[in-house]
Amino acid sequence: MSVNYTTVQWNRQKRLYDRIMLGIMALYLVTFSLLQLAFYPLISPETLIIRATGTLAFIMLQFILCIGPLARLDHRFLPLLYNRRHLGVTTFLIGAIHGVFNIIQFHSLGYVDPIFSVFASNTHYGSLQDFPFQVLGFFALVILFLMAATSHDFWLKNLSPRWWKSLHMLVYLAYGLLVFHVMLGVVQLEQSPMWIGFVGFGLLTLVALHLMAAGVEKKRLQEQMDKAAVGEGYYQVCSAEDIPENRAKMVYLEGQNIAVFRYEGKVSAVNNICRHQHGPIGEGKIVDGCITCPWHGYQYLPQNGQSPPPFTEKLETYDVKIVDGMVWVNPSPYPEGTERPAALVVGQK
Amino acid sequence: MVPELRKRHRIIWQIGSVLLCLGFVAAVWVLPRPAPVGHWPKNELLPFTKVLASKTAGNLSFQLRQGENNLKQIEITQHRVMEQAVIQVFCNNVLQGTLGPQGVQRFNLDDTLSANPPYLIELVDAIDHKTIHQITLP
Repeated sequence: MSVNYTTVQWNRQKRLYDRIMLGIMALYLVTFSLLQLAFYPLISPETLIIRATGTLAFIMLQFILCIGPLARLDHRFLPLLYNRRHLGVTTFLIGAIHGVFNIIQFHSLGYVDPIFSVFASNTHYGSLQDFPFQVLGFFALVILFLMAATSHDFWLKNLSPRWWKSLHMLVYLAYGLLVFHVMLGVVQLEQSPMWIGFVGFGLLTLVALHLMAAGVEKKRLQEQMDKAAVGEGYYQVCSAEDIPENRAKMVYLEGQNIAVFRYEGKVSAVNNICRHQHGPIGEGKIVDGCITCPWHGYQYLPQNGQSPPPFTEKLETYDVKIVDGMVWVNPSPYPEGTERPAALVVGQK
Repeated sequence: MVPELRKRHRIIWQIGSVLLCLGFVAAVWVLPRPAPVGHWPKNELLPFTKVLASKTAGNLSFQLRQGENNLKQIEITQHRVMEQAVIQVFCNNVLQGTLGPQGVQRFNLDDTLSANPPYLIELVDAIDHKTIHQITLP
């Protein structure tokens, strides 16, 4: 969170995360290279680099795509979500090394332009078995480049969160392209059950996690809608005791996505959508008296939805009351940053 | 995440999971399968009865056979699989065909060739355009 654009907003957690990430990557590259040299003693350095970076980039992308649903299913994975941006940019760089070495090795020694050669050296576009799989990897790399290049708050602000998020959802297309890049490439060439198992396991894991997370979310929303009692414009959402201290209950009422926070014996309600990247601030917690978005740490005061000075982000607020220990929320929003009195948990307000 | 965005994620993954899984199965389905040894193409030509000459070169054996009306036949036996992907067989500079993966193959010479011995047999690597074997049968 910053009032100015900085290249990377370093903090202790990000440094630690990056060191662990780089350590695991180095360990993978060394282990993979040693195994390759053991099984293929005559392998050339170029081929070794192509194989090592290709497999590493694919594994990293697979892992990145698992983080979102994992964090929705279990909040202990939220620190991974908070630092996902660095992992994504690093994945692009590793993939770019793979792509550049491939183009140099296989397409730069002919008479035609190397990029043109990627598209024209194999023209069996109508065949699944002989499909020019390198083209799929090329387009996936272009998408990853666009994402890496715009992975900064400058682009988020100027593209608007809606368009920025739409652009970054192309990562799913990139993943699909890479699955077929592998399945129509190395799998067709080597017919190795190991590669098929590797891609198949990753694919099934990812699909299962995303569908599970989507199902859980839909069910939660439906249960809230079913249970909500209505009275005088207010909806009964839960017992005050159901909300852990410094945490929130998220509800979706009359088209409003609302986070009801409990803190210091009080309950306040604000809009659940972070102004930064539309993150679910209700999945975050109150730190130093401020609601803190789990995605990138943007902060808001619970009683008025305003970011603490000098920050300028603001959320809509809602009326809340507690009757017989039950929390009631009026989903009519007040303008962003409007102060509303908190409901007291002990006693009736 | 806004509900609209979450819904988009859900729809993308519901459709994407079907497409990805179907594509994965299709990619496995079209995997090239190695042909079992017993199913390698067999030479349909029957051997001519009379053997006129035999020679051996490396892993290959050559026979010149004679049938009815003095027609000639070249028989080539591969004892081991050749390294070259495509090998063309020439007789007196006339292409007779290509060698299969392994085993016995026969090439019937036409009237003109049959009537003009000796027979210069050349095996040419069709990719590198190099002559691998060159023998003469009387």
